[in-house]
Amino acid sequence: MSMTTPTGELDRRAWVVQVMGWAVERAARRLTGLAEHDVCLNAGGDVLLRAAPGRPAWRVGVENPGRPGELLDVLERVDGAVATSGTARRGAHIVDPYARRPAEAVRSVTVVGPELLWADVYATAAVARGADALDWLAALDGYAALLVDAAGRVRATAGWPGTRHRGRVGAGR
Amino acid sequence: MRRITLWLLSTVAALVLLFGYRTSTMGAGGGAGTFAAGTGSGGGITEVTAVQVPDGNVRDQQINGYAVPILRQQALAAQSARIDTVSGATVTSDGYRESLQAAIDAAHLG
Repeated sequence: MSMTTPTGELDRRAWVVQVMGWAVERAARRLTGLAEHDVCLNAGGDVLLRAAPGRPAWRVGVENPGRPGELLDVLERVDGAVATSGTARRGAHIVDPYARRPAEAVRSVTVVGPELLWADVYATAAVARGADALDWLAALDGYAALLVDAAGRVRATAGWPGTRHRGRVGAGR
Repeated sequence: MRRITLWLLSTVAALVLLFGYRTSTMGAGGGAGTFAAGTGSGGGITEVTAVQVPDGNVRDQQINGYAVPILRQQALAAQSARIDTVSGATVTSDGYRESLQAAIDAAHLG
């Protein structure tokens, strides 16, 4: 993931991605240390959660990028992180560092795994990566992903814990 | 046994938690909103409460007008699908990025 703009300046937005996952994980330590409490922390769509042994799993909805407000899938998790990057809320704001233009081949990527920082980084990097993002996501150890491309085609990596592994969503934007 | 759910409207909110700053000390644009949803024993959302919503300036109020209904909408969608939270593309704005930078500068990390 590039940390500089095409003109060579430091791209602070790239750091925002890193800082967000890092800060949320640090903040969550205060909550996960509470006895007899389960924790679900949602920072602008990126989710970190934990349920104590024997407690019911958290149910995490994955937003449909074609129709924000509706759900694409539902995951049951007892710990770890769920992070989503894409164009649904802010348009094509992630830049392909090689083509040096906004990445638009992938509309949305949701990554599930043990750490929010890396789930967030992988999801954003996959959107920037574009066409071969699913193969790249499938090779990540310990993380699984659900991808929606620009045409609305839905695909998941082998380890995706949800019920939706392929299909289509509306064209949307 | 209680379950705690927090929606952090922005990275700033996470930084506020992390460094223990009050948003009122950040000056203009240092906005962060935190919502808490209480869940009953059946797992459904029983209440949604705005714990902290900044309204210190016009920009904060504009962002609130945009973000607060989205968060409430998510809470209602969550209730109907028996889900606890929603993962989606980041809900934020240029205003929040500016606020984040202000927070980082204030923490002498920038």
